Amino acid sequence: MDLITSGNLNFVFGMLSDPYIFLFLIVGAAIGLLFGATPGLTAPAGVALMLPFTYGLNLNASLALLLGIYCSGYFAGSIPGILINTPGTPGNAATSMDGYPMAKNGEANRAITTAIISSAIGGFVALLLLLTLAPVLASFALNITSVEYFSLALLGIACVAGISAGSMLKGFAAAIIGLFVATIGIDPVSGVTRFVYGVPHLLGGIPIIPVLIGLFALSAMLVQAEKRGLDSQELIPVSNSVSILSVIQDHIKNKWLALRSALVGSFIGLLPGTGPAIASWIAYGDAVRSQKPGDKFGKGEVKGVIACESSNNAVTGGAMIPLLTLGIPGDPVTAILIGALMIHGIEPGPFFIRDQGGLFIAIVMLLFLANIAMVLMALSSRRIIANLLTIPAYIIIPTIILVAASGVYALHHSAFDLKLMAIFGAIGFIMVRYKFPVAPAVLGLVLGPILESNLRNALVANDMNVFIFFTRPISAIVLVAMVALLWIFARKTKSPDADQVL
Amino acid sequence: MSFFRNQEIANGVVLLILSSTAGYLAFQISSGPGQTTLPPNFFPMLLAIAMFVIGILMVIKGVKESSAPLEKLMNRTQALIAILVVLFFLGFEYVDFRLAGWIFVILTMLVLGCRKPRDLTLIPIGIVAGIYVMFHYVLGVELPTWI
Repeated sequence: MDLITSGNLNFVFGMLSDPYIFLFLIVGAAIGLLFGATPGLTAPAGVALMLPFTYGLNLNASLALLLGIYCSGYFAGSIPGILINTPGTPGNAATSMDGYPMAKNGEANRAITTAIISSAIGGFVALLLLLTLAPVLASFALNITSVEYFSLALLGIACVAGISAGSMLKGFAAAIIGLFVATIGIDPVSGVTRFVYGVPHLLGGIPIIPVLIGLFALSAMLVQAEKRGLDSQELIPVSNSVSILSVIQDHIKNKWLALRSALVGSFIGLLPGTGPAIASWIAYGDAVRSQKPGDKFGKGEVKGVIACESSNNAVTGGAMIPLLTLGIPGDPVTAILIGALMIHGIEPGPFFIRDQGGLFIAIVMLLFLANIAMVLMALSSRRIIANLLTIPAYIIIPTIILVAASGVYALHHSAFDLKLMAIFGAIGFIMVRYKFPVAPAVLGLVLGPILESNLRNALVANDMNVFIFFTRPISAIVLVAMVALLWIFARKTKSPDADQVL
Repeated sequence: MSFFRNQEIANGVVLLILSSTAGYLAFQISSGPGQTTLPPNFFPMLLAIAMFVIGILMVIKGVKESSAPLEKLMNRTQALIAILVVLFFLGFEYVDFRLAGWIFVILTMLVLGCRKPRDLTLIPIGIVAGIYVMFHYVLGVELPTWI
């Protein structure tokens, strides 16, 4: 913790004295609930879509908005999972296993309230880990070289590709597409243009925000157009009221399960490139393995909801650790958050906590407040959120497309950005259609410059000795861990619901 | 022809084509003046080779295993939405946002099956007005306008 000084706390107090921070936290939580609860919209899509808006905001307000969406979005996907057995995001698929049966048994309100409280617990546990582990990891990261950095970035790519939908091959193919797109522009070493072909807008590289919005939001709307809405879905009403105290008592009774699941989620989030889907399935599997006589997993067991939701929201804090200490995103949303930080001239990485200790504490505080905002908003609007599921596609789809177009145009008043968004929307749609996951492509796009520059630096500094990646101990350990994880992912029989297609 | 209707094989062939194209284009990149380090096309070439290998593995996997037949890319609704989106984006900077947005929303709603006159009247106005007000007055962003 010696990277952080007491002076950094002044930064945080200054931030908290700004009332707009709380406004943007609430707005972010509301947007996160909307995007998470509406099937077809996801937390990454919400964060990507709101990125253009952060241009006009100061850093703290931007982070409040985006972190609000992050925390609420990961929870809110459980609501359609509980009410119509269609999770809003891949990370909530496991919640449906017991959440939907609970709803069918007349306990929809109890299931949703349990998901809210569990998500908050997961979020808070992950924050403690972020606060304690990140400075330690940052101190360690100051001593790593290009060799280790390359291996860690490769681990991130391998993880996100390895847990992908359909097949690992498709995951790697998607990652390579993202990495390739990241090479467009001027080579930073030689100054030579690559794949620019006279288009001046590409000289600075592919603008990332239109690409993200195209890949996440635009493609999702095209996919949704196939279904033409959920009007025919049977929506279980959220009618029977439930005492929040009784739900809290459930959590006290299952406190070790909640804590264990939160830790699982935090550590899964810590692994670069993973996300809430795998965290929630692992936690659910652990809960099932430790079941006691009388538990009814798969038939409406509240422990199933506790385990899944604690773990998937714990990913929010865990994923911030590699982002802030190494500059390597822990999940797709943190990959987008890198863009948000760079808009304001902040570069996450080994020097972030040392040079911006106050901002680090501010991010922790914002995540804490975002979890509180999520709980308050979600508890007070359970029935309203359920009604979001009845909004017809013919309202959602044109609205999202219009917001996306306006937001992207607002960046630079450039029609080129719109065309880029359309192109990547088409690419994202084709990828989803043929079961190529989008998350690895996004991570490839974000990690591409890191991967390339560190690979080149490492090879040049070590006389083109490729074996340096295996002879330096930390790099060797990381690469062995990568191979081990890929082997585990390849062996594991994945449930189709755990697919991380978007 | 039926050989290529296997999804895995089709995906693999597409990757082979993409990687070959990418590799060819990467090969064309000049090395730059006084190059003493790795050339600028080193990483793109590496990626192209990796993608080529994945393409081959996919084709082999498709030949060995029976995979799902190649599905149609999109249905009529999606195709119409895609056309509307392309037209909207192409004309975005030239047409008043309020007018273009209103037309786009109405047409999209019709394609998606909305036939209620009340919805077709009120919803497009509400959506476009809401977005315009948010961007123009709240965020201070100028969208294309004629008036």
